[in-house]
Parts: sequence; structure tokens; C-alpha cells
Amino acid sequence: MRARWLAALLVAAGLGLYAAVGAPMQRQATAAADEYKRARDEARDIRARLARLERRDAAHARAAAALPAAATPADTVRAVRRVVVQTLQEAHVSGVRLGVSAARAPYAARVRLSAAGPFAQVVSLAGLLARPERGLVLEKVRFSPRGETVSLDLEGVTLGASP
Amino acid sequence: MRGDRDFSSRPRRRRPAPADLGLLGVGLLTLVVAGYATGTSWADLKRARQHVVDVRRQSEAAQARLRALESRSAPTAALATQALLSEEAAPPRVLADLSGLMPADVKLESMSLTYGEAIAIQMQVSSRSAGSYDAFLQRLEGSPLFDDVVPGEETRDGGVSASITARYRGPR
Repeated sequence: MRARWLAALLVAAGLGLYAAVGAPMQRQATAAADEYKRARDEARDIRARLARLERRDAAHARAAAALPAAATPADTVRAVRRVVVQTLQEAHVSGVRLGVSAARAPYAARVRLSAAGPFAQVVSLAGLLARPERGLVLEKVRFSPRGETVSLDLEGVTLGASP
Repeated sequence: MRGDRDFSSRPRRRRPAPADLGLLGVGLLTLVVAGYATGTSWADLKRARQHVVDVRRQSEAAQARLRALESRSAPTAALATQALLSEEAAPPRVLADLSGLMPADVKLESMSLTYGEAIAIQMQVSSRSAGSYDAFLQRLEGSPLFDDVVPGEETRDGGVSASITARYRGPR
């Protein structure tokens, strides 16, 4: 009889332990796991936004540092013109019209360019001008048909030193 | 001295019946299983709480950096975004993404891109069949790379000639 009582006591103790401690703890663990998932998703969103902002600032810094610091606006204009002309030499386009002028801070210079050529060449030229090492930040780009060729009209700016 | 030769008057302890032993085993097993389940739950809880603390700590550090970057003045931020888009979404990239959505007989007649907080696109397209133009429009609207797609004026005369404005979201 004592063995049966002892067995009943052990079963009751086991059930009591599980009901009083184990089950609530299991619920808390599940809730904590859910909270972890939420926190992890939130952290992922924050990291993605942060990565984009860091890329953005890095791009700004690269654009601002691409051209050597010039002493005068005229030096800036000459330097920017040189870069654009070098880029034009890599592209097989014709009918080029180029205007480079000094611009107010935070810009250093403003570039206006139009050219014509086969579609692939004018698209390639736009891509070359947008490369980070050129330091040109695009504002407006327009491709339109001109007879058998395509004309490109591009406006962009170069940046001064970062504020 | 062996138990079956014990002549003492002391009452002999009865051996527990097999059924009682079984019940005792069940009781013990119940206690062990409950203890194991409780221990496992405790370990799970501790681990989950530690993960939450770790993730929150990382988030707070990232959030502080994010606030610092977001506090830049609006013109500087806009210019930085424009610089990023010039790099990451240069015209060849936008054209390639756009061409990928075009059915074979849809042709891009002209296109202008305005770089700012995003890239505003204005394009003129033509198509030999209305169905192809509609398919292109549908793909453009469904593409995650483009939003704010607004069809403009169109002329339908066998083929279609139409203008469309859209916004290029670019790489995220």
C-alpha cells in the first residue's frame, strides 16, 4: 500500500512540477522566441536602411573627392572639361556640344553635353560619364531619335568638398 | 543467516508486488520526464532571452548610427542620394531593366531620366500591336524596380504610340 501511495505522490509531484514550473516556462520560452524573431526582423530592417545610407554617403564622398581640389572656379571648370573630353574620346559619337560652367556650393561645376551616335554608343557614353571616378552626378539624361542615330542630352554637376 | 530460516518473532517485510513496483516506476518516470521538460524549457527560455538581448544591443548600435546619418541636412542627403543613383542606376542599367520588360515588338522611341531622390522616367514607346503594349504596361506595373507607373496619352491605330511616366526605384 505504501508503494502505491509513494507512486501516487511521485506522479502528483511530476505533474505539479510540470504544471507549476515547466508549462509556464515553456510558454515564456515561446514568447521569448517570438520576441527574438521580431527583434531580428527589426534589426535586419535597420541594417538594410543603414547599409543604404552608408552606400549613399560613400557615393557622395567619392563624387566629392573624384576631382582634385581646384584653387579657382576657372581651374575647376578646366579640370571638369578635361575629364568629360577624355570620356568623349572613349565613345564613338558625333555632333558634340559641351558646356562646363562654375556652379555655386555645394556644387563645383555644371556640365551640359549633347552628342549623337548609334544607340549603343550614346548609352555607353552616358554610362561612362556616370562612373564614380569621373565625379559627375547626373541630373537629367535624355535619349531621343535623330534620323538614323540617337541623340543624348545630359546635364550633371560635380560636387565641391563635403560640408 | 538466510531469510527463510529466520525464526524470530519480528514480522517479515513483505516484498512489494510487481504491480506496485510498476506504479512506482510510472511515478518515477513521470517525475523524471516533468523534470526534464522543465529543464529544457528553462534552457530554451534562457537562450531565447539571451538572443533577444544580443539582437537588441546590435539594433541599438545600428539605430544610433542610422540616426546620425539621417540627421544630415535635407539638401546634403538629397545630393548624396543623387550621387548614389548616378553610380548604381546609371542610364545603361535603367535601360537594361526597362528592356527586360519589353515584349519583342515594343520599341522605346525616346526616354528622359531625371535624377533626384529617385529617378523620374518619362518615355515614349511604340508597339505594332495593342496587346504587346498592354503586356509591357502590365509588366512595368508589376515590376519591383519601378513604381508610380502612369500611362500618358496614347494613339491606337493598329499599333500603339504612347507616353508613360514612372519612377525607377533602383537597387535597394
